[in-house]
Amino acid sequence: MRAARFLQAGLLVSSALAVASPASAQEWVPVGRLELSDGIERGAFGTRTSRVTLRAGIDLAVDERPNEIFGGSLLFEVAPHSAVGLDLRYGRRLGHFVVEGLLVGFVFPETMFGVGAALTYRIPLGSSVSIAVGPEIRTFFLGSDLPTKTPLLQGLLRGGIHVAF
Amino acid sequence: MWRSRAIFAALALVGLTVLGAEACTQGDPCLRHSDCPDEQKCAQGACVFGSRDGDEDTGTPTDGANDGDEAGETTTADTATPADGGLDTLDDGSLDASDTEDAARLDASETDASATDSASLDASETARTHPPTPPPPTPTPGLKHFGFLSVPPDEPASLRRTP
Repeated sequence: MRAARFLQAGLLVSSALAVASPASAQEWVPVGRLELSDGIERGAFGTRTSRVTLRAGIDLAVDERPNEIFGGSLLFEVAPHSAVGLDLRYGRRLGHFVVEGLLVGFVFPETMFGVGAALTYRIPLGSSVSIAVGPEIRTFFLGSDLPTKTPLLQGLLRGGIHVAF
Repeated sequence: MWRSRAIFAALALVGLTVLGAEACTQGDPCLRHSDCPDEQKCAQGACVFGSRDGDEDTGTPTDGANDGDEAGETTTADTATPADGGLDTLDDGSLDASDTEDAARLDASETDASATDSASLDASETARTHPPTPPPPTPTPGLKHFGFLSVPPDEPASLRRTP
């Protein structure tokens, strides 16, 4: 009798575990981004057009707080000279706009580190795809790529595509 | 709606492409060391031969070192000079300048000496033939001069006699 009750309780618990769906709270929602940027830059020796940069990265937001975005990207400067870097971003979504602050650095062939800010306007092209355009400003003040202690200022225009997975 | 968004996106990409094409134009100053070819560094907006280590705020040749001949010589293995071609070029320039200054100084001293000698000879001959004349008297400021007599200026108004 006692064993039968114990068996019955065990079956009940196991059936409850089998039926229960996994918790859906606080899931990370990833968004891939592929962007191209270019603009002007000013350094110690003058002003010129900056390098064309390809950015491939991912944005993460918790589903409970979709307006808070964490992101990281790989940066590839492609023209007229090549360099590889990365950035880390924190953004706040304000409607169709996203305001971002970022830490950015290039690590090859020389190092250069700085900070920046960006404003992105997202144009939805469906449920999961959007076009993103907007300005970005950056300043680099550390690294072996800078010939002097004068920081390098950049004003860029970005455009690309964002895809939600 | 779709069409306008697509047009907007296409325009943005075209703009970026145009900017990218403009970035390929030559003649822009270098702002980063990686703008220059390997074994060169960016100094004063121009690529020069030399190590990229360290800060190059001062003391780096600009246009002259970018001509190529002198800087190229410093990086060849035959001369066994260090890779810091910019500094070597600067040193050579300073040596040349000092040499030039020394030469100029020597020339000037020789010229001065010959001039002094001729001047002293002329003076001795002149003293023998013509006795020296005393220099004219220099007026003393604050005094009125009447020939050989110098008197102070008018007395103050407080000491003047009233008729």
